[in-house]
Amino acid sequence: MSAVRRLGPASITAATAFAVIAVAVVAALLGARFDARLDLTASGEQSLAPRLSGAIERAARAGGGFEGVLVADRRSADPQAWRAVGDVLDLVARAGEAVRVTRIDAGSPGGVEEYRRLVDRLVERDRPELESQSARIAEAGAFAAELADWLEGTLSPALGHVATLIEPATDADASNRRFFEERSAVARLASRQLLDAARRAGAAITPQGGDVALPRPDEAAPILADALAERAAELAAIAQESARFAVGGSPPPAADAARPVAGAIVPLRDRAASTADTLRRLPRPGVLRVAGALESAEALLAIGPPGGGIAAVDAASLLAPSESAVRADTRARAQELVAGALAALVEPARPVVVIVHGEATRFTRTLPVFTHAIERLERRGIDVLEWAPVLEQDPPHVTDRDRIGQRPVVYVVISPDSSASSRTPADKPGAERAATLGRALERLADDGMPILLSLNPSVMPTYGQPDPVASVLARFGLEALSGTPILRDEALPTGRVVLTDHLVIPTGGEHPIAAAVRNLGVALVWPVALRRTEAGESATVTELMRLDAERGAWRESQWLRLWQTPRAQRPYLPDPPVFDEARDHRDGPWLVAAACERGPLRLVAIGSNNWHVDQVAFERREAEGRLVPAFPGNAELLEASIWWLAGQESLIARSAEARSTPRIRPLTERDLLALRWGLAAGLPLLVLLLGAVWRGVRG
Amino acid sequence: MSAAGVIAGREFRSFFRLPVGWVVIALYAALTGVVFAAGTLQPGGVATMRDFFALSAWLMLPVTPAISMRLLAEEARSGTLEALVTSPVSDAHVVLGKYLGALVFLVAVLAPTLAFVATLWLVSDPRPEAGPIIAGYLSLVLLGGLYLAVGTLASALTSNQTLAFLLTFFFLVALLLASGTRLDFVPSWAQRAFYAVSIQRRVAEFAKGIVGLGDTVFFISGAACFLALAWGALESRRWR
Repeated sequence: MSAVRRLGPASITAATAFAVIAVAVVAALLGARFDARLDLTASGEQSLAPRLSGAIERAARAGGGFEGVLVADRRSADPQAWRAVGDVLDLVARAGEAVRVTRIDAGSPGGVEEYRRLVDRLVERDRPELESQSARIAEAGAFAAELADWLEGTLSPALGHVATLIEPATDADASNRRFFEERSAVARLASRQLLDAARRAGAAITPQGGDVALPRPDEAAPILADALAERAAELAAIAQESARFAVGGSPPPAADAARPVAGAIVPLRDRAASTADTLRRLPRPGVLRVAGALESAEALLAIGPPGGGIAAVDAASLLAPSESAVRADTRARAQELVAGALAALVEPARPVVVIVHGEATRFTRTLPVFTHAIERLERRGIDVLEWAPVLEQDPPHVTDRDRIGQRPVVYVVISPDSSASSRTPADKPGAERAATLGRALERLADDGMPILLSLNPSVMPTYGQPDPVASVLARFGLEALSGTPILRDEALPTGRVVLTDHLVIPTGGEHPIAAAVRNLGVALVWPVALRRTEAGESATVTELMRLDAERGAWRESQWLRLWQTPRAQRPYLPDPPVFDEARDHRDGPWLVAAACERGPLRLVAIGSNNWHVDQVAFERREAEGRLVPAFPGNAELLEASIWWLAGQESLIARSAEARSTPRIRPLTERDLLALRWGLAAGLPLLVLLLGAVWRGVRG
Repeated sequence: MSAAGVIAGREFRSFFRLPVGWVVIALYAALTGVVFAAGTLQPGGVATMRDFFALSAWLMLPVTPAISMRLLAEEARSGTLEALVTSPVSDAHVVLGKYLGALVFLVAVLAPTLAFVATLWLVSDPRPEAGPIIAGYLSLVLLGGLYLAVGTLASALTSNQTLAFLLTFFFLVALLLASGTRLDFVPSWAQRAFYAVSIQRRVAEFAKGIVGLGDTVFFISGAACFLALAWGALESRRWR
């Protein structure tokens, strides 16, 4: 075949092959451009949890421009955890343009350089704020130095002079003289303290060396503010005493000398107080909030658009090598943390939760009762305070947690044990503490405060009195049947056992709280039923959960002996409660959780008291090598209720922690070895054997 | 297409007639078995095939060239290729038939690994999700399809099976290395291009349980490109 004749088929072949390749390349490009993705995981593990996708949507609505940056040394990170966190960041990146995602391996040379650029950029973003605050602190420092000079050079000698003019002829004169002498010394000491505070504040706003050199107005401001506030208080006391001395019939020369001292103190006292207040209200620049994380070069940062702040998540705890059971939850935790950090930027006015209880001691931070709940809430930017009305009449002030006064306050109320007697002479019995708590509750409701009310069984209805803790429900057209808690019994091989714990699987509903806990197991301990009354026509009551009357559950009136028996001994209680048609009730299903509204007032009532404590809501099942929440609905119910009560329904979304992960069961050493050898060696040998047989049979 | 089907059937059966077919299946089962037994089968660990799927881009490297090396090279060496291409079957049917036969054999190679799925099913609580496993196996077929298409081209270019094996193997190693590692010394546009054709990234997505349209089209269109080139190489014998 000549070269010319060969050219024809060659061209056709080349053109056809080229056309096929061109079509394939275009198809690949179109596929990449219009990439549809199908998540085949039943749990949606590779999908964004509603909470995180909600945070991303809000970030998009806020105009976008957010960044998620993972900074860590990949060599020291657990590979599976690194991958899990990376998966979450990939999901975030694919969710749209609102959040840009970057991963920086701080252990690689390129990563170090990239990290340095990131730090510089963050510092540069907040530089105007840092400089402005530093200038204000410098100004306050100058005033502190000026005040110190005045205290040392003017006030102290003036007070000393007044003292010398008082003849100690009487006890009162001697006392006055001593007062002015002491105050003169106090003024000198105060001068030195002020100078020291001004020096320390000045040092704090001077950028120091190190990897991240920043002025620290957040450290300087409290130093100066505290020093000035203390001096203002001292000056106020001196001014008051001096003024009283000047007009109180004191000897003329001394009184005449004291009068101008009092007059001179007042403007300086006011200026010191107002400067201290201004310093305390300085917002913490974003870059300083994450300075610790930046120093450690191990953090997951959520960076808002300029002016939108920065939030940091402790990446070290996410990426550290850990038990496989814990590690398997890394993806869920990462989703939670990223969602929390993003949400904190998008919606900075997080609620403040006040735990209100009827105990005569503060325990929420000291006893392991609400540790996990508080941790979880704080991860979402929710601060938790405590109020014991038995100890203090007024609820705690939230000013230092809410400098701009925009954070809603939610009161989480826990019922006391009304049957408890006083343990010490100073202690009040349970019924009295319940009454105190009831009054506090009424006051909160009168003030229109949102309340999450958890109810215990109460002995008061047994005595024909209303349960004081539940009486607040009346204004919503509800009552709690707290005199007859719901029990159930089970027949075990060892005999009949009366049980006080119930599991509810909420079926959902339109209400955001109901939707958040749909199909998640909620454990209720000693549940009490709620019942609608006719009094609350102006109120809206939405049912959140009902407890089925299955398995022979009933409302028991003779429950006190079981209640007072320690939990572990209850199965052995002789003659446990049994349903009695004359005095007990089988009138289920029972309403056990309701969301109520009356005008602006919101209340969520839960017919159980200990449903949100660590031992129930955060119990994890470790059986068979897995660590999953035993009752994932409890924590979701707590969180969703708080968001709803705070009027932040848009933040209600099921967390990733509510999902479960399949794990490999514990195996005996022998079984594990057999499986491993069977798969790694037995299987290939079986294939070869099959091949030999095949060839033998088929020739 | 029926001609391609006939050729595919004949090719598929031929793998089982030779010891090498069984050895390939056993070799792959051994490789993956070690990975699964040592990496995944950990009491208390996550019951997932993800490590196995994610590593498959490498595990299939020695296997697929071993399958594809003889597709056309063996015919050329033994002289039967001339008879095949002069028969009333088009070259496209020959290439497609050989390729499909190899692809079905690849599915047979993967079949023993279902024992891993069964093991996970037995020893995990709760049961592992089927979705990611289905997506993972889909990725193995797509990935194997791409590797086999590269091998088909190499087999069409030479009559030496060893050379065809080596060509395929080193091309795929180079592709995996270039697209899966950070190459600081190449220009950024080249880095982006390598990233765009990254195989590990796509397989990892499938292994998570995510089936992406873009990833699926990438594997299919990539295989189509190499098969078109293989057809061109075979066709060139007519006018060389």
